[in-house]
Amino acid sequence: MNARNQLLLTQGSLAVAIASGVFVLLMGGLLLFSQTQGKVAGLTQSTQLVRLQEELRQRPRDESLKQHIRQLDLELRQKSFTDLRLSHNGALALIFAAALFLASAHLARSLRRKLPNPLAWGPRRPAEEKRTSLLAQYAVATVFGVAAAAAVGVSSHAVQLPPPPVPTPAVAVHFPAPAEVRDNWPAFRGCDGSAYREQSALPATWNIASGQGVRWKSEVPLPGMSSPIRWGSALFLTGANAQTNAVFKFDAATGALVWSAALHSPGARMPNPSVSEDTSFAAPTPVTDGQRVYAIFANAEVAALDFAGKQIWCRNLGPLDNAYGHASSLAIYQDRLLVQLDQGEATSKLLALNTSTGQDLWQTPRPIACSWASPIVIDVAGQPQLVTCGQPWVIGYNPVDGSELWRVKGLDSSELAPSPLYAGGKVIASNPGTVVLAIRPDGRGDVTSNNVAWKTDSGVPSVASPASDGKRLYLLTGDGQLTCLDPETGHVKWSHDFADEFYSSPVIGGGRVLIVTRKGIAHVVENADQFRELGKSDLGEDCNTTPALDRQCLYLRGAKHLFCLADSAGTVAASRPEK
Amino acid sequence: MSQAVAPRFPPPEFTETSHVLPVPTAPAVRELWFEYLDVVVLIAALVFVSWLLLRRRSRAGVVATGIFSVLYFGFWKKGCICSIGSIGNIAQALSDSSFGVPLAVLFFGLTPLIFALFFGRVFCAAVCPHGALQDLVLLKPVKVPPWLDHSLRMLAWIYLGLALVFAATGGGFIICQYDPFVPIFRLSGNLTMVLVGVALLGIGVFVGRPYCRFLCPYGVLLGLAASVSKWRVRITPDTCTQCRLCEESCPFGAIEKSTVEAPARPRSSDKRRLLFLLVLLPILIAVGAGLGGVAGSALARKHRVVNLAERLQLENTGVVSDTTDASTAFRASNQSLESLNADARALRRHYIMAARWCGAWVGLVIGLKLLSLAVLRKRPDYEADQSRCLGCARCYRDCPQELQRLGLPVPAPPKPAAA
Repeated sequence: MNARNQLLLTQGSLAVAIASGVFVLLMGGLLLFSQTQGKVAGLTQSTQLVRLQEELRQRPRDESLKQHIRQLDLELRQKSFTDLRLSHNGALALIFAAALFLASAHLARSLRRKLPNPLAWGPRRPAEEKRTSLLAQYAVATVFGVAAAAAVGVSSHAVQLPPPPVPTPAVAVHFPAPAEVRDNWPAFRGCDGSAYREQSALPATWNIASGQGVRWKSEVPLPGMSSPIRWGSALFLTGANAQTNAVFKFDAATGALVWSAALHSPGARMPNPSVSEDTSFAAPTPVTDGQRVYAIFANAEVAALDFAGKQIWCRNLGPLDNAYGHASSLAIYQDRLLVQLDQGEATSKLLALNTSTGQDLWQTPRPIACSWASPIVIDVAGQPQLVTCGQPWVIGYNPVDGSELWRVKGLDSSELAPSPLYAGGKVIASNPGTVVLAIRPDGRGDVTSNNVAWKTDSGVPSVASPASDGKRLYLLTGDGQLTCLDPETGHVKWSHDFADEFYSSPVIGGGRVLIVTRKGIAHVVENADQFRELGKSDLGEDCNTTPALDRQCLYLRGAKHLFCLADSAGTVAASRPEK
Repeated sequence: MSQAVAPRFPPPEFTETSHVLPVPTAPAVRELWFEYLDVVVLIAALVFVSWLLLRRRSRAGVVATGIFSVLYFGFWKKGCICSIGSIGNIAQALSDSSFGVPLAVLFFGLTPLIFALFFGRVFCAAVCPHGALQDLVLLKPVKVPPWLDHSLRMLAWIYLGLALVFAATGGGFIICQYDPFVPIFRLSGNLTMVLVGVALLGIGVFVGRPYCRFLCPYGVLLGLAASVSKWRVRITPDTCTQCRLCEESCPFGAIEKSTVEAPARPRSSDKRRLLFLLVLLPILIAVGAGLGGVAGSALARKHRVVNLAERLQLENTGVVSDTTDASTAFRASNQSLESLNADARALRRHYIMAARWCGAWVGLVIGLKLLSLAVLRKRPDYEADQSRCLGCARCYRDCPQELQRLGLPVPAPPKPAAA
């Protein structure tokens, strides 16, 4: 090739290289612009479409709006695909142009290539080469320094995970005998959730101002809607505020606060969810097995403490997502602490925690919406059952392994608070505002069509749980209708309207039934087939909790105080003959 | 094979029209025999490039094969299966017996290494689409200062260590995740990675193969294998005349100068420095291991379980107020937070152990690099460093002996400038 042709070829290839290079830059910029502006995202990012769809939700029958949306939807889809096609074709054009640029640029460069001139570099200088070597060593060492700094830097951003639960030494397992359990009030509504104690001196009246019938009155350190429980001389209560979850032990004889134990959660304390005033951060009632007391709070912190107030274990089951705040109380079966966490159909579950360690023994998902009812453990023909209520099912489980035994559909209320009850061989389940079901707890699977013994729409409770001594069933509505039924048949024996608001569940002590209004007005009626009010007293403060009954007295939590109330004569009401 | 396919757009929300929504479809899975064809093409290309480079000494042939590799392994195969990325698969399979490696991936991972043991980095020369693409864009090479070149090359060793940590602990294949050129081959992908790839190509116009030299973790392994290769790239086909014409011909800084005509270096402090570096080596290893342990918890965040546990902890403690898709899905899944935390803690322990090894590895390679820089080796000829030479064959044409061998006119040596 002669010099002229070579020059022409060089200049030609340079010109092509410049032209294609400019094209590459322009096309690259255009593609980048369209990407960063989201032009190919289209449909999913159209604010106009989102706005119109919002309007359609408010005016679902607006046909012109629908047409408008359809048209816009179609246009956006077409535009999106057009933009995608343009983007793809643009990228292809960019690649072809880049290939042309590289080919012409390489050609131009090879045509202009000159042999290097080592003489121009001068002689090699040993000192410089050594300095270069040293410089390289320092640079490599710097890389190590930078890597070390990066390692330290990233480690400072590590998130502290909650530490593992501290294993506790095994404690000899001792399950209290049934008689021992019956002699105490170890859980919400007593030993079996019936709210009944056969031998109890339930006072007919008292007078807070004069002190008549008031054995003692103690201030509760922290607020809560949980009810007291008793084991021997120990009374337990929970309370909480936004910062602290605490368990309190009172002396049942004197009312003295023996200890107050704030829970120490492993890791950072989970913040409290928003709860309603009617629920509080300490709505669930604790439970005891005679060795330890177990408590759960609104932020899903659950813990075990011994009777000396020492925390045995504490863990968090949350976070919980509950419209009013978690309110389901704990239940216990042998070494299993049973927790009903109904948070919504996708997340509701039942857990059994090892009472010694707090670790999961089993978990069972529940097809249940959010609920506030508490589970009960019952004995059916010598076999234990864990019975739960939640929209829409009443479900019986085996508390040993969490397997489902039976289920009955019929609870369609979205605000299910009343807990189930076992009376007269039937599980009583309340569907607020609609119906009360009596279910035979046998069979397997869905027994809705076979096991519902009776239904009634009389006196259906909305918040308060039912109570029964096995012979009579008491239902208390939120607006004060107290109804006595035959648990065998569901027939109404009597009904009386107290015309007041009630959250507190009724309790039966021997021959008397006690109900307390939200304002703290207590009514005692006779546990009989006819209505007869025996007394009416004022607690002097609000009350939304359920009393715990003892042989000689009852314990009742008001808004601020814990009361021990007793019949001044100290008679055991149960000794009264049945009418 | 069943596939879960997400539609590109949400389907129309109107159901009362008679329009029948098409069923989403996905491209059919690539036939298995294609993978075996890829392996055959890979081996054939390696053999061909070995012949071109070591026997034929053809730069044009290497370039042509490189273009083929960019088209076939790059644009046609969309950059996968890729030898570089196979490191992750193999590392995970070695650490987790339940993880199987497809035969084709194994071939892609090991064959170039075996070839490197015998013929040097012939894979990098023209078979790797990443390398070939960068080689094609190199128009005006500038010399990277040796101190910078040596230090930047250490990044690839660190990257390799991290890639092995993440792959062996289930944290993902970061080599594939952060591959800068695959999005270009696929004409789609994460915009950031596309921009990184374009930036690397832009830098590659002036700096020879920046990814291959300073970042490629597979290049580290190939370099190690090539350092003991029996046959190697030789700049001159005959005897080196010490003409120095090839001295600046390598755009990758892989040519080691002859020591024959080099004036003696002052050696007074060399021995002390060498001794110091020998003592420093175990210290660097220990410090590296310690720092790796420190960073282990943070590295563990790459694992989805640890990431989720940490996210939930931040949400639960109120440090962050929003939620992520993963945390929302976990809450809806009914799983135990405590068992998630237990899994996360166990994974963190694995990561800390793996990161300690990685740190020790970094300390070791840095220490050895410092030692190698402090040691003066005698070389009779100008020669390509076996571990760094990428086999581009550019240096051949700068050697007068090569021109003579090809029967081409040998230009007269330039005259020294008049004083």
